[in-house]
Amino acid sequence: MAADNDREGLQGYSRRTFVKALAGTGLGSLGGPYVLRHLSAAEKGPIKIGGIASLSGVVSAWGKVTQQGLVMAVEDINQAGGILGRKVEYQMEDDESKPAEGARKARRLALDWGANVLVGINHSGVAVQVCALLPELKTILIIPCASVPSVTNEKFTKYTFRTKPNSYQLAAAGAYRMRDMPWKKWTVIGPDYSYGHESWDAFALHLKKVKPDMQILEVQAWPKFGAGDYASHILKILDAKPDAVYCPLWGGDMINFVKQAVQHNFFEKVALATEAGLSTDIFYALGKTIPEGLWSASHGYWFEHPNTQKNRDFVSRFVKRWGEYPHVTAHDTYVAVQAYKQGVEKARTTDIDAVVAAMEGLEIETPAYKSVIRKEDHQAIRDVPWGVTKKTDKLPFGVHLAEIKDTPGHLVAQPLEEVLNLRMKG
Amino acid sequence: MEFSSFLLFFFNGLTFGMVLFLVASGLSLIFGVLGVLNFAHGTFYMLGAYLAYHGIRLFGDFWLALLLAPLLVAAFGAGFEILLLRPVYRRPVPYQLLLTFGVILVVTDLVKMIWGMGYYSIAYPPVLSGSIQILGRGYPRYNLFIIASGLLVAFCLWLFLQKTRYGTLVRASASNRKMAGALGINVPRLFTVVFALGSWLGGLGGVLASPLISLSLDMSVRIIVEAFAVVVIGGLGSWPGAVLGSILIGQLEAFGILFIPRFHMAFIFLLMAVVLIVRPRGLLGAEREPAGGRGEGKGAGTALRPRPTSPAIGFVAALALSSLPFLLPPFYVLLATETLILALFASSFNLLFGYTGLLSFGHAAYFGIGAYAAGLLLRDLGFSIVVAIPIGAALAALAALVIGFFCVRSDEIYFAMLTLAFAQILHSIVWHWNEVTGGSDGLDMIPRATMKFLGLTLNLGSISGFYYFTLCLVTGALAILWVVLQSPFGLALQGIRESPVRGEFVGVRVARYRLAAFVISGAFSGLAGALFAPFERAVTPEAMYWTTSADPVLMSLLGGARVFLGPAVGAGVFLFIKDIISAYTQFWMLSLGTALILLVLFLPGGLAGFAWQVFNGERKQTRGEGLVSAGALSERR
Repeated sequence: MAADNDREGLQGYSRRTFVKALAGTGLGSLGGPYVLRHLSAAEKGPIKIGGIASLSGVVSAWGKVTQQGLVMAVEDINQAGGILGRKVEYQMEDDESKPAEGARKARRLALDWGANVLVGINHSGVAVQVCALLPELKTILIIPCASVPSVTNEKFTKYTFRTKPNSYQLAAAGAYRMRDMPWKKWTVIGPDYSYGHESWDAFALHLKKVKPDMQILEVQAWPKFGAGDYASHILKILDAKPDAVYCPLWGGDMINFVKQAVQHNFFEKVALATEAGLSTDIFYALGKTIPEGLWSASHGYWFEHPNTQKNRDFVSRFVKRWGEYPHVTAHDTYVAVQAYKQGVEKARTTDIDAVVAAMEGLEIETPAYKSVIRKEDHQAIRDVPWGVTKKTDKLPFGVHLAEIKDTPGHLVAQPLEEVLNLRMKG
Repeated sequence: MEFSSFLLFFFNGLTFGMVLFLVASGLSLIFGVLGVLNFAHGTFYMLGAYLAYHGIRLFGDFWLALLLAPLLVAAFGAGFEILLLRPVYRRPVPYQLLLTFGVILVVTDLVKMIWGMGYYSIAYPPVLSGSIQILGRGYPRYNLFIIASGLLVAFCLWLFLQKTRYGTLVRASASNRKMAGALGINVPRLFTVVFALGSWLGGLGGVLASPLISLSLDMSVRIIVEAFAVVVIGGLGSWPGAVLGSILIGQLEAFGILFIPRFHMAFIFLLMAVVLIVRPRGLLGAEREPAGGRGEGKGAGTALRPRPTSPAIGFVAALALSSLPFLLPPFYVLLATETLILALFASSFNLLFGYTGLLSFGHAAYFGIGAYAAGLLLRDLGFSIVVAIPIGAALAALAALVIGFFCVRSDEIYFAMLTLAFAQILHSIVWHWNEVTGGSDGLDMIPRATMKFLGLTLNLGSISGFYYFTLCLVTGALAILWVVLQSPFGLALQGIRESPVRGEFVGVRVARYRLAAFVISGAFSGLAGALFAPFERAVTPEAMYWTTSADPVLMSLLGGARVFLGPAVGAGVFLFIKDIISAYTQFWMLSLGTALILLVLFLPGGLAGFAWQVFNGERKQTRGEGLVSAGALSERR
């Protein structure tokens, strides 16, 4: 394929030809700044990590923490002598939560900047778009945030890795935890896009399995992503009188929902389980407004758990570096970079195919968890915590997740046959 | 449904409606009096909320923040009006749009610089937190407070406009600006006051809404489209219309969730479209003089006579472009491919905008239809790309025919809003039609196979192969557009732009010509979309969202809407500048926004227009009034 040639052509591209090219097209005066940045992805020199995150747009709070995790990982690695003795560099790009921007930034990082690996992506629409380009770019992408299952199922490419639990695992673990609760009548309030629906489907599927007497109400609420007004959704659900509601809302949507629901005394009547809704971004924003008794996985990591030396060290270093507690996505982005490091060290090279092979089946130790990258779908299998909100006076937000228990990763992972079946069909 | 539930839903609708009313009434007031469609009005709403957040952190008091924040926003608005808007009042609407667009970018980045990227939240003031019993059910006090405040503001506004002397002057200026000036009213000062008042209302809306929602950087973009819907449905520039429109949309949001849960957003835009078609001035709007006065050019600023040298320039450019893959590294070839596709998109849009005088704000629809159609044909039905792309363009043309049929009788803002409404309806359909469009995830894994056509073999999987393929199609398409514009048909379009009334008078069937232009424009936008799908190897609903419709507007104005290659130049400059800036700073919006504002203030003809003027020594002559372009219908004014 000529795409191969294009990429090889890039590797042998000298600065002089590039300057000539610019002069030839009359872009010399404008393109000057690029010349220095245009370095090749060779087997020597620094290893380059291209970061992609939503630094503006709808989910920029999550882009910010992606950047924190990535920067801290790179700093830690360099302090410890780099990867294979090579220094690590990074470049952060803003995808604006728009797929077309994400595509352009991925192309720029891979082809122009010469990234050895791409790390990032918060928004699932951007993830789907960038994954579609990976075979063309022949660059590894490690996703630490976007958790829509399809990118490792039907849209799988050999270059796609996800080093955090996906929404299927996170939701399934919720079902195991909710099994022991008295609530029988369940419904959902979730954002009306793929992540919301897939999260709910996985939760309902597993809850039905482990708690056959549960019922799903017909009345469900699917506000559009980014809605400001939840009052009517709240009334609609209250009118249906469920025991509990599953809530795949997250970020700004979750804040809007919680603030309005509290005013309607919603949580006095209905229990709530939210997979990603209660992560540190919301604790910082809402503080004590968050009522006690809400269940959440915090998207797969809550910084107080597990209470091990290793995790405590990570948290205190993180707080020292950034002045705030690590968000799940900061932790997971940190992990994504570390996973790449392990992959390269195992492969003894940055050669893409060799690193892909090395990362398949790789065991990673995160500050909090041990996890395995499943060979066939490149999806990390890791334990999933669920806990419940309780008041505390030890933390600045006054509320935290308590009674956290991990559900074993192998129990909640989507069975391999199912994944491969989906891929066949997709 | 129980009556108590019904009542609470009704209150919910009123709560949301009142927030919308505060934003929309300012928008409507500014449009009514100043004739400016303030796209940046959402930023006042956002600023109000962030300033209140800051005030509460400083003073710990919600009520003080409620008092101060809107005043600060009003001061900001007054500064904006005096410094930026005054110089552009005489310019056509699109320039004001571009300017306000620049302001959105700048303010958003300033907010990001000052307050950062996190979510923020304002607590309910203690007196108003919790709920009270209504028919045995709890209802939040704060919502009732918003309803009361909104109604109070509405009443005060009515008093001010109807019962005070200054209010009378405001209404007089809204109804006839020139007459008001002639009667000795200090119109510039009145404009500033009205703009400040409008900003104050927007800021107040932001402060009042802030306890209900999270503060984030996209607040302004979220509210503005719905505020437009309110203003259009109620009647542009009509104060009672803004009240009625907000209450209507608020109730639609509230009850729509019950009865049409997944399509209530589409329903709002459908309502907007129906109102614009059946009663363009809105439910309560008065008949208005066209904003620019009769007979004035409706397009974008200076008119330039296209010269026969242009095809030669095009030919040289094509030759230079075909050598790019030999000269540039792969990423720049990709950037060039994307530029070509967007250049075609912008040029096709400009057939309507620069040449026919119709500002479409819904061209994402045709781009998106082309992209989805080509994507589906290539991926699921295994069509060859030489078949898939023309079908994509044809389907886009078909959609343009249907939508255009309803739109071409409207002018200016009404046309823009109507096209926007249709595009948003289509966006909503694409978002929800999982089985076909892939829903919110869109289509991916769109193949780019090796193409065999007329004995030629071209590897489209490669970067350069697809570049050449795009280059051929885009050059061909641009050539066709050029020929169309040079034909008697194209000249008639330009005549219509200059004066639809005169066009009608000499026997040109304006609506029919506009429809034809609309269909051609839609077809080429569809072609651009059909190229975009295999280029990105994926299509997402974002391609049909209104932000995509804004791109060709920006590009055309940036490059120059009255020069044939202006939009193409604009596309290139836009992508290139953005790419350079964003490689160096996360605050690319600030730089781009500033650039747009400066451009509007100092280079009204766009970059290519400016170059044209320099080359042809027409600089002085063409500023402001505008020459009328060539053709049987033209004449010097």
